[in-house]
Amino acid sequence: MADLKQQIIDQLNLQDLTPADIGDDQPLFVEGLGLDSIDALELIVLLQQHYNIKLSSADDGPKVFRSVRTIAEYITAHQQTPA
Amino acid sequence: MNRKAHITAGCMIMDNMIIKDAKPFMVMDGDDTLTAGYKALELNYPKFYKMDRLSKLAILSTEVLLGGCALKDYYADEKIGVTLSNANASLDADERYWQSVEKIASPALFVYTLPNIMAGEICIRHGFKGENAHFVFEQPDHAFLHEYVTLLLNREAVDAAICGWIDVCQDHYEAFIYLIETRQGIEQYPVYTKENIQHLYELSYGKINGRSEATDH
Repeated sequence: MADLKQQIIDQLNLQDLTPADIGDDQPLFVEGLGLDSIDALELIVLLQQHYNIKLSSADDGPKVFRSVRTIAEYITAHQQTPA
Repeated sequence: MNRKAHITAGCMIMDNMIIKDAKPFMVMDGDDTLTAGYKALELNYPKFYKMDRLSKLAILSTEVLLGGCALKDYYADEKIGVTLSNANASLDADERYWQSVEKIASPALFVYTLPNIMAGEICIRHGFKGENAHFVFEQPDHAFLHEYVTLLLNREAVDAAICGWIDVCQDHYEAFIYLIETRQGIEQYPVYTKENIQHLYELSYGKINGRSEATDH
């Protein structure tokens, strides 16, 4: 999860933060880290770039990007396993 | 109606130096000079890191220009305008975005591929809602901006405005902005004329070229 937090920091240019500053279950948007709609698009890019995962439905966004833990769970569930 | 306005502040940033009101204000040290300036001024505005260099320069120069002066205490949000100009539009962000397209296009870079975004960033930061405009010239055209802003003032579209030149091209960056106001009690400041703007520009530019290391900050 620490790697994922670092990737989020790098992707979103959150240069004031370290992985330790982001709680596993801390909300990422609005009252939490205060991310915005452009950040949401960057998180989609992050999933695609680092994990080759495309969000199957835009409606899933709020659920998937609720916290670092929910993103990690989505990655685990959707990462392709070698045949 | 001809409204009398005054130039109540000025700021120039280039070659690692910040000049405020034609006096040396700060030398920015570090490889990333704009971020060094942000840290030295202790702005505490994390969105700064997400901006392109043009908007970073706009935010930095506006912070120095206003110097804690709450314009909103004197003017309605809708009466504070921003009129900017530059030579290279958003070319710096355009090129970075184009490079990102080779892999996966970056939404965060894309949003900065218009030069007037920097005026928007200034307005978001300070809560201004007045008339905005951006013009592209080969070099600073103080006479044109004076004519345009005077028109806005005379039509009472704005009561105060941040105006000037903010340009970024590769390693070169240059900001020269000034604050135009109409409130009572500022009669001691220079009257807003194109000649006085040119004078402020030359004084500020002279301080940059003189590389005076004595700063107020």
